[in-house]
Amino acid sequence: MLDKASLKKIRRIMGKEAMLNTPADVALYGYDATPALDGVAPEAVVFPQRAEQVQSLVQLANQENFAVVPRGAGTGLTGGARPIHGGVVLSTQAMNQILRLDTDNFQVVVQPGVVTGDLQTRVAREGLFYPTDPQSLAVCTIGGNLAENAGGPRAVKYGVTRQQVLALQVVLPQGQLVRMGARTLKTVSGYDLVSLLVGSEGTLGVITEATLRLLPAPACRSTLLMVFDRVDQAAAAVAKTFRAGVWPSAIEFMDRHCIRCIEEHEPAGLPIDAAAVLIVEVDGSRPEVTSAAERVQQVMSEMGARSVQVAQSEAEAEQLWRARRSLSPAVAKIAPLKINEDIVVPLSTLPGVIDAIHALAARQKIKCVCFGHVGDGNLHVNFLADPSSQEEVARAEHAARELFALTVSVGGSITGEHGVGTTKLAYLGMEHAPEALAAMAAIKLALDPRGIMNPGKVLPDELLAKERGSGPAH
Amino acid sequence: MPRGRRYRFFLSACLQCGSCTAACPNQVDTALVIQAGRARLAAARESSWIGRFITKKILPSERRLRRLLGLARASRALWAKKIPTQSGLHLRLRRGLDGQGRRIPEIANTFFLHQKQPSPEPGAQRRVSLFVGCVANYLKPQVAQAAATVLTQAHCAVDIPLGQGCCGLPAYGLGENEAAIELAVRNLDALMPLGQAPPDVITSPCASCAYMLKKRMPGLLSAWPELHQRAQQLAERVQPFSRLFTQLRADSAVSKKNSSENTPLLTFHDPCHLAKGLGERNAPRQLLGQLAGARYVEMDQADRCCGQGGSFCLSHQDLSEKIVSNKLSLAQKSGAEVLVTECSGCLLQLSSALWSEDSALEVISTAEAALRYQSAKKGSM
Repeated sequence: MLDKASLKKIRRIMGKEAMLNTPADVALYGYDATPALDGVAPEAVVFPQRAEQVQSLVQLANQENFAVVPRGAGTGLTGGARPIHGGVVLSTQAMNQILRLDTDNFQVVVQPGVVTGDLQTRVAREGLFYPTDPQSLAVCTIGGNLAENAGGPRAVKYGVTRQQVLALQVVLPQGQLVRMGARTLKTVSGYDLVSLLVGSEGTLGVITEATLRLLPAPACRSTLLMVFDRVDQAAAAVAKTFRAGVWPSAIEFMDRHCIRCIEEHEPAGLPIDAAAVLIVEVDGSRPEVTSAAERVQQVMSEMGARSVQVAQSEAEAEQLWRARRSLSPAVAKIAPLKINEDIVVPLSTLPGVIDAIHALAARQKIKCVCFGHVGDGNLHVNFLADPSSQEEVARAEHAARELFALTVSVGGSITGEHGVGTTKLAYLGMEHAPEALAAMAAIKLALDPRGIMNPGKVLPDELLAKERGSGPAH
Repeated sequence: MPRGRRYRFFLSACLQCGSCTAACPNQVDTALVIQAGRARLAAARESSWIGRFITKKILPSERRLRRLLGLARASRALWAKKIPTQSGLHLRLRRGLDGQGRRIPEIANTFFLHQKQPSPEPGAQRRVSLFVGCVANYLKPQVAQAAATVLTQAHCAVDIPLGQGCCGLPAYGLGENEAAIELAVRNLDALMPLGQAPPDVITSPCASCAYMLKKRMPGLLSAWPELHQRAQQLAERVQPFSRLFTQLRADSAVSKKNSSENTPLLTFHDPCHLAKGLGERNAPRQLLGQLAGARYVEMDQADRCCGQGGSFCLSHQDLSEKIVSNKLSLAQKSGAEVLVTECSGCLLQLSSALWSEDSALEVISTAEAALRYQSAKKGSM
């Protein structure tokens, strides 16, 4: 518990307006976007504007022993931003400036609270391109993207957030303000701390500034819709596309249930009798795009696509992408509770994995919708359950466990972009050997011996307690 | 959670526009959450006394409301003259007359439900019950009249059940559930009378009323299975005016004649309860686009809330005015001469703001637009 004196010290660091602590003010900071997780309100929420304020707060947290939980826009899907051990939520909302746009070096320096979509719009004005496009890009922040190593449809060609980062300024868990990485396109000096911090879900420090790489904006894009009567054909077509020498900027998959769901709630003219559809986007110069689109059409027809349609205008392409974006809300409408997993598997295993997922859902008598950025093997599998039936929820959870076992058995990973947070803690051991988990715990303990940075996330508390006991005394 | 000052502030500062629900991946029904919070305040008698008084004592009682409005009409001559800014009355009437002399809406000489209505045309195909709503009954009877007229012309047997009252949304929005339930039962009896065949369609020129009847009334009556079931049957029959009208036109296969260049230019403001509450965005545009006596232009950010928000425009007047003035400048930028909308709250908010801004723009309802611009010759004013 934070006592009055601590709150006073925090207020002195932040300034009067930048700290909230009445119950009504802090209640919503106890949630993120994960369905069915109860709110756990923090004791205070702070809105620092400068890295030095973050540093002072973290130093104070070490002295007074309270948790610091960094928060972007709260759109995370694994409970990572919920302050489950109380303490202070550190919102990056007031650190929302684009500090420097360096068009000569194709770099931009941003504060963590910049909204991803706003950054894209800003750099587009200079003919530049920030590719990472999580579905919540209209509201989510760069800081949150970095902490979760966010992906999105375009990751298949441009990589996830990690690939866009050159350098970071970070407040480490014991309060050191450090810079890591370099403002160059490559560096191999020392351990790669940037990679350690990106995807650490706020457990290894607070990112206070980031230098991001930009690309020249592609001149032209083309979007295609492929309709399949068999799921395995659609899945197999993904790898075939690459073999044909095409590197699409996105390949999205939706199964029969997804199509029905969209057509019932936000009709987009998708064929409801199809087993699956693929939406493929290619980008580049006009001749490149034209020839790539032709090759995609050819491959898809060879792979048994019932129809291949090329969007004839930007409006038509936008309609396809809007259908894809309306999927999650549409699924939310039919299911009061969706257990949303985002496994990722090697491309060659996709056809078998999708088949097996539908089979295991049928075995558990659980409704299941499958979609995702299959171009990089990432599948979103939603098990739908009625929360008023404990038995049904239990079956859905059982299905999720089977899904993870299946994923690991083909060499996949239990989460491609949502992270571990708290909801996947129980499954971490299915993917990683005890020795690997011990190495992770050693890193966490070395950087954050008091366990004040977003405690209870990524690694189980019990594991940290065990490693703390067995390791060398601090 | 303790019901402190900040708690009350957050609950009152919500416009209930539904934009957050529309944007939310999990489709959280924020309006319902806010309403539950307000009901909690109301139960503890911590909501504003004026809101409680109006929604509990005045709106549910037709007699009281009539008497009050009669009094207001009689004394309107007094307040219509600008009251000097130094007058203490200003503070008291701030809700009606602010520093810029905001206009008190004019009160109708004869309330709509007291006007004699023509009997339906012979050969009518569809039995439509018209839910009038407070604004169209007491303040702007021309809106209800227009709706009744165009529906009759479209071969509907239009019934205007006299027992109907306020839809209950103002009370519901303030968390006064008891008053809202009382009104819901009354409207249920008027619109779905026991022992009689129910109408084919129930419509209202006001989308907020339609939203209340369709989306919120069944939930409000869920504790009483029989009433709940009837409310669900009622809800199934409710269609917003523009949806019903475009459907009728499609049925009669009226083709659009080309509007000439010198017909008035219309634009549409999406009421939150229509676009986000009822998910109806196409019908009003289709309706306006098909009118032979006018042309249609889309305004920027047409579905941004106008800032009325029920009690919001009273409890957060400054914010409400900022929002509406942004809305109006966007409407003006579109080049339109007539701003059309389909909600009583929006109509009042927009027209009162226009009055204080001294703008040439006119604000009317979709029902009025449908009547006024249906043919090319009537359209040119």
